[in-house]
Amino acid sequence: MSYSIVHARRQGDAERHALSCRLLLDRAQSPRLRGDHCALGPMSAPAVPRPLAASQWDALLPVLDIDVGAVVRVVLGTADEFLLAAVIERDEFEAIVAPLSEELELAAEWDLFVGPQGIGWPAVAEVWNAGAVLLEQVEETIGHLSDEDAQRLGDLYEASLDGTRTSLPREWTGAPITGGEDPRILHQEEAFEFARTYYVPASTFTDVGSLPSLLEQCASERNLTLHDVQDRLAEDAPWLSAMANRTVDLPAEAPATILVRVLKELDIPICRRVVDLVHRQAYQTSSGSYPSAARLARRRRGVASRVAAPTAEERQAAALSYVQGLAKAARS
Amino acid sequence: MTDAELRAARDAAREGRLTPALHVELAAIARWLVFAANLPASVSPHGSWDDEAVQDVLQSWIEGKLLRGGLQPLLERSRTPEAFQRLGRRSLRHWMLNQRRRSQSQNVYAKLQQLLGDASFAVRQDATRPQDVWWTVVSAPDAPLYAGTESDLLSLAWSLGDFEVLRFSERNKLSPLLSADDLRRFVEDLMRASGSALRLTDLMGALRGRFGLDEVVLESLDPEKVALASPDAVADDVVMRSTAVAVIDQLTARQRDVVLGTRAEERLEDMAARHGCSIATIHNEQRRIAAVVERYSENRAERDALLKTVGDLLYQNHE
Repeated sequence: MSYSIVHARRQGDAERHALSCRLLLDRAQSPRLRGDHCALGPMSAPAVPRPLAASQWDALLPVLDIDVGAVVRVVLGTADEFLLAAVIERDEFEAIVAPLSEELELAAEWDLFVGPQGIGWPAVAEVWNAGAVLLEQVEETIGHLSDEDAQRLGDLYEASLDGTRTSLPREWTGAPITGGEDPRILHQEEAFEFARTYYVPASTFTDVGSLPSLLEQCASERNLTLHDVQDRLAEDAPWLSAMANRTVDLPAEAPATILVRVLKELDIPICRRVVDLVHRQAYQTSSGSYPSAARLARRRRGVASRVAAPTAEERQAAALSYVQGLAKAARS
Repeated sequence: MTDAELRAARDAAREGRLTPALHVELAAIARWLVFAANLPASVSPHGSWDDEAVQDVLQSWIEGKLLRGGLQPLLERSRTPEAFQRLGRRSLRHWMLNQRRRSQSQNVYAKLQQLLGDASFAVRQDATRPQDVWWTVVSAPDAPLYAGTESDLLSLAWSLGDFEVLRFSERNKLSPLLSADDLRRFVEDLMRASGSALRLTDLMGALRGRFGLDEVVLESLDPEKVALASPDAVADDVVMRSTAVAVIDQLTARQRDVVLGTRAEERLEDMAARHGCSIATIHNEQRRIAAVVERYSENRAERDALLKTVGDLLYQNHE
């Protein structure tokens, strides 16, 4: 299937075309590049790669298979304490979890009494304190809520998102907090402070649409530019600062081992979420070949000779191969 | 406790068992809390702290809390033995303080009855059973009878703010859960916040939910027999010396000698020469000693005092 702007507009999918069109990508990122749109190659490739299959993910970055209602131990870097939490929702990258507490007497209206069946002890699921964790942070499943508890947890979470009163009978939750002097507020602040640190890794990817914007955002949070990071890596990543201005052909220009170093330098967890961004970026930027240094230099100057754009399958293969290299480099 | 022992303890706890290593660790936690954290004698089951009291507390913690669902979350949360120690100390402290609250439930009920009889309160509606009489503050003699739920009343009880619920000194060992002033404030504010007259049952329900008290046995309303309080002074130096002995137990012979050398302001070179090792080794030994002492201390002042006591004891023994 070929894509054109007209076609894409007719499909109501101009953005999709823009992402797939190497001319638009290059023109946006390299003002010096001029040329015929079509001469850079047919706009035959879709904007985004085929999502990786579950088996491919498992081979790249295996994670624990968890389902809704699972009670899990969540890990954070070198923290010596686990967050115990119940899974409310999950997708291929993250899980929304509600922390568990044993302080039953401090339960309020958005705390759900759960267990001991399935967990081993009576607890409250802090629905008000729910947040997203990366699947890589889930170290172990230690139990599973009963079906009824899991259903009530989902219902209470939905109600909390809507800000509506829950229809759950009151015996399942604590007494509502009605005054600012309530000491349970202090308890909730402490519980929030503890849990939020476990949500930081997943929050790194909030509102991040591409690898360059992720790198720029993380550098910026450390008061750095990509150029600064490039300097820190002793010029091993000359393409890094260029990512802000032009399309960097990841497979051709950025060795996976160096990209891993960049990610580590910026404290970006190497997880499925980041691998997905790299996969997309590799797919979108791949020229399908590994050009010589001289050609790379011409390309940086915007005078590269025109070559036939790779097919979608070639890009797919290049992107997959690249993320495989990335995962291997991360493991080593 | 090592990492492997922690993992083994976790696996065993999932099957409802305690490993020997875990039991040793729990005993160490209890000893630390009592002797190093200067736990007040008022929370001791015997009114003072000795090895027997520590054993009693340990047993009641294990039986009353850990084996009833408290152990597994402790172990599941702990990624390292140090984390387990920290969480264990917190759990035991909470357990002991909660035990004290629960034992005072009956006492609170009697105090509440006594309080409602004073001039600030009036009977709004009488009843056959004393716990069903409706009470109101004298400033609102026509307040309606409370018609809300127990949960709503508990919310109001929480909204009254914080109350000082514990007395640490020996003198106040058997004082009520709340001071007389706090109990009065609680009752008056709860009646005002609800805009209603309340029954003793309602008030006790709110107190129970708010302060984690046990159910009151209504047939027995006699206040607890108040025992004579022992002298107030907790022998800090005895506690410190017991803790220092525990620290010394954990030191190697070389570490003890380094403590003595450091106490005598001996040069590192001289200590190294005496032990036939490098200066760096002596320096590392000092760090290890500091780590052991820190494990038994909650702050810098405690650490310094404990280290001094360790040095003094070793010196006396050495002499």
